[in-house]
Amino acid sequence: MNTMFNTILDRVVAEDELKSNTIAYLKETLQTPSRNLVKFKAKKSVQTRKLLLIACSFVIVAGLTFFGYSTYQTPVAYLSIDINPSVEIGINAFDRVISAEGYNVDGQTVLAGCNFDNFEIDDAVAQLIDVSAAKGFIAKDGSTVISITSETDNTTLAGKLENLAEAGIKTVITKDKIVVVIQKDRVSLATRIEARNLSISPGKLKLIQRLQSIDPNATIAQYKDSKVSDIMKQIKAIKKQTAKPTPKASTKPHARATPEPKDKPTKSGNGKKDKEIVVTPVPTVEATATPKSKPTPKVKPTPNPKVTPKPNPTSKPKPTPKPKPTPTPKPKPTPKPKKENPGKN
Amino acid sequence: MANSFNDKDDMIVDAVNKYADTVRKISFVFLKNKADVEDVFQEVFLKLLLYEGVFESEDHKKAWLCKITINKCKDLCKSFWRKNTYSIDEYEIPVTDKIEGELIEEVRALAPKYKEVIYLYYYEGYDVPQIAKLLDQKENTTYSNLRRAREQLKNKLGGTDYEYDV
Repeated sequence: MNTMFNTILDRVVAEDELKSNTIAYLKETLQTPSRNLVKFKAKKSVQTRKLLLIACSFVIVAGLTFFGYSTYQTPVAYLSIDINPSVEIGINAFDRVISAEGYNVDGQTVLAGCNFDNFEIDDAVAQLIDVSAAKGFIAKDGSTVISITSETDNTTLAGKLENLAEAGIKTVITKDKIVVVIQKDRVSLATRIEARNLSISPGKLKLIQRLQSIDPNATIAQYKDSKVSDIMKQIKAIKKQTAKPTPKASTKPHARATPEPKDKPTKSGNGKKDKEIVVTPVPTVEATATPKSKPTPKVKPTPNPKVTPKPNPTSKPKPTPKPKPTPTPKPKPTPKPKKENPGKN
Repeated sequence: MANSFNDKDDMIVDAVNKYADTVRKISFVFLKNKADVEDVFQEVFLKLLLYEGVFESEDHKKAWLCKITINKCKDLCKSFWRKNTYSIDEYEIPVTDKIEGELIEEVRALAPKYKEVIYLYYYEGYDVPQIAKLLDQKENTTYSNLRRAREQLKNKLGGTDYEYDV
């Protein structure tokens, strides 16, 4: 009965009103071409909407990707490692290394051919130390000082960075059986900018500033390319020099005694800010060294010999009466500083 | 200048008079609302008058017009506004008895993809390959749509004396 369908449709014809309205609309529209464009634009809305949706989702995805990438690539803290090669690594919010920059020629030498991007902090530091050792920047006699300086305004993060860096260093020195002194420090980002302006690593700048505090003649330019261990030696030497005159001026023991305690508190008192640790790869060596000092229990009155074993005589004028019962053991303390020296110098 | 305006006016009147019934029949199958039918008329004829291609024949022109009208009707059916509103301004259905009324109501109640094949196959007399070409479909799709449309109509109208003959 498909004829019935055709019969019904045959009866369907366009109404005159519909025709006249359409003709009127077409005449009006075709005489004003600008309206055509508007009309077509509006009526392509279904396709246009789909395209717009696709475009919008693309923009959103691209935006999110860009945001994620830029967040990942934005450093929130820096870690400066100074041996003499001075290297600074940038760290993002995910504790990953995103940049590494050599502050001096040695630093650039160490970084040559290395890529630390996306490395964990301890891995990056370990590899950096490994490369430095391989390129001869770390002496095997234990005289090398490695300065780790965290550069951030976040104290919690600073502590974390220092610990991770220290862990990285210890991994290498334990493996290679090297003795080094690790100097930990932290600076603010403002100090970092100051150091960058001077083309020097923040860690080294802080060391030089420390040197300048006891030797006003020291200049940044003079020590800019020096090894950290050399600067440390210089600081110690000046301290010794300033400490020597004290015994002569026996009347001013307290006045001279003050500068020394000043240094000690900076290491122990400001423990969080400035630490110096002698790291030996094989702890048993130290263990063997300590028993030797055990037979000299009376030398114990020198609890601070970590830094200055020699000043003991200077500060011993008062305890001199004590060594009286032990005249013979005196020679024994002398070898002790000899063993400590290689670790510290 | 005035001559060109007159030519254009004549062209408009000719086109509308010639194809108005075809467009109206298709829109009758797809649409119920007067305003929608008027929209379809305006857009289809505007597109026809602005068409810059060349029609190979009158049949080609009619086929093109059918395709454009069906697409416009389907676009309107898809619109959110139309799906969610009920029009009170509807054309009367030109039927003489209840049987015709039931038949045309069931055809109009089919999904657009079934309505188009039913109209083109039964009323315009196109065969399946022609419909497939006209609607940019695979022939198998057109066959399937036609078969399903028939089945649906049979299920709804079957058992009566106007069973759809296919």
